[in-house]
Amino acid sequence: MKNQIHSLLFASVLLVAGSFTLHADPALLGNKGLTGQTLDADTIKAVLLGKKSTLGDARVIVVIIKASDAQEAFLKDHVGMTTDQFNTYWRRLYMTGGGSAPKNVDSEDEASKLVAATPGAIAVIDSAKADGLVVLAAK
Amino acid sequence: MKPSSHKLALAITAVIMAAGSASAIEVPLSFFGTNAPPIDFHGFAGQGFIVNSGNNDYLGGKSSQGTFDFREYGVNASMAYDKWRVGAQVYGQKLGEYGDDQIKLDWGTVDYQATQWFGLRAGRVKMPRGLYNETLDLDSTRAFVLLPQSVYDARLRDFQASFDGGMAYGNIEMGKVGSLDYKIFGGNIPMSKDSGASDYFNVDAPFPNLAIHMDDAFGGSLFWNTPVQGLRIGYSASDYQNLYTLRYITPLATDLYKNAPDYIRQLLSVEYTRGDWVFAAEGGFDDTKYNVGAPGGAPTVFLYQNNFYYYVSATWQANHWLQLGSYFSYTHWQQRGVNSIVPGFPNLNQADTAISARFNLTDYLIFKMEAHYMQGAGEVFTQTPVPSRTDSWMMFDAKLTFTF
Repeated sequence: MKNQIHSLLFASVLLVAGSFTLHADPALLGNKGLTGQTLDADTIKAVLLGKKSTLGDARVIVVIIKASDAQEAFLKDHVGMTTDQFNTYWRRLYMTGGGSAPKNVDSEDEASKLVAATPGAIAVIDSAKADGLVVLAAK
Repeated sequence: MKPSSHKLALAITAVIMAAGSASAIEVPLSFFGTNAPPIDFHGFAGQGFIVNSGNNDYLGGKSSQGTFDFREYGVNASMAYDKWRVGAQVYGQKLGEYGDDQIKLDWGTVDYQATQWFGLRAGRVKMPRGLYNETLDLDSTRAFVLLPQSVYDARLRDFQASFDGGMAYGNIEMGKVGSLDYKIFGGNIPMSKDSGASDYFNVDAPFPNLAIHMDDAFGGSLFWNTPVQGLRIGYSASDYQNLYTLRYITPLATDLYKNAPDYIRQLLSVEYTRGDWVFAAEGGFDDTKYNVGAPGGAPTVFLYQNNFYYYVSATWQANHWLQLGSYFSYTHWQQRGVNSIVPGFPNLNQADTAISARFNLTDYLIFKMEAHYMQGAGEVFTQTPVPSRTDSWMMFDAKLTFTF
């Protein structure tokens, strides 16, 4: 009886643990060409808002994912915007000569591939997908 | 033969609906054998409808009968390399009797951003003023069909959308105190006697301008991005030098000029973004002294014009496809003669309470509906004489816009 209760308890713990998806924290990741760049909070904000257009010798290209919890959380913390507001902010810039348009993608995987292939590109992606990319700032 | 306005409105609406799923266009230059960066193309097209009650033909057209003469469209191309960026946008508009669907250069600039705190932009540059002046034409960046007209009068586009000249700009970090965004400009603004701006500068008497021009325009904006996340506060000012109009005054059977050595505009702005809410408020003051006289002669009449205007607004992004907004907007126009020989001018006031709904039909296609309750008709131009204006009236507008 005692063993059955222990087994039931153990199974319950496994079930509950299994219901959680393992997530790493969101991070601002960049193309390999940005190796050596580490950004403080002010610089993260300046880069994401287009006020700082270069990092080192590379012109920054912002990649925005259509819908991403990691991106949403990071943007809220660092620039105080939702993804929709962030897109609107950039539209105001590139449609009036005030900045270069970001690249829009549908998923974190697409963002990861685009950042890996594009000099100067940055994106907010789950840090678990940082393979081949440079971590510019963690959450 | 130019197509009728109705046919053009229908054609634009059809194109917008068909293009509702398009995306931005990037043209690589690598196949030309260069390693130059690609050229990005973006654009927009919006077709709207305005109708109002009462006898007021507002915003330049026959809005009292309902009008589709309410549209704008533009295409831009740009390229960025290292610290340089070049780009240009062509634009067309029909707003009542203004714009006439003529394609013009909206902005065209060469930009060099040396550092975060200093950059230079030259060419035809969007005018920095307040929170939203640079985005006057961009439906996709706001909830409202019409920005609060007290500060962002759509008929003054020719006057306040852009200037030809140069601008210095930058963002200055101030640590725990936040940062400052500054823009300082100088240049000139081509003006047309057939524009809304021309009609705006003769609201004191119903005689159309024979000529309108100014020498130079200077000004700038300074915004403090405060340490409070989402809160920014700004001040903008501009000085238009030797703003000159000439009109034939029928009762006097003579031409008279009206010249402002300095037409000064000032604007205070505050915007607070918190979650899905954006709150904004702006208040401004235009202050000028006009010299009035016969062409070639010394001024014999002096007028002081003091306008103040403000709005407060709030918008809420309910979900990805619905945004709601509302604002209260107020304008007070006042002109007084310095000499006793000048008759009094009636104050021109107008209050506008608006409520809007924006629907994101797709990522690139939006539809908006808006209702306004107007008190006063001071902002109706002299095409509708003051005594025959309706003092309490409603206005409805709607717009379908495609952006890529």
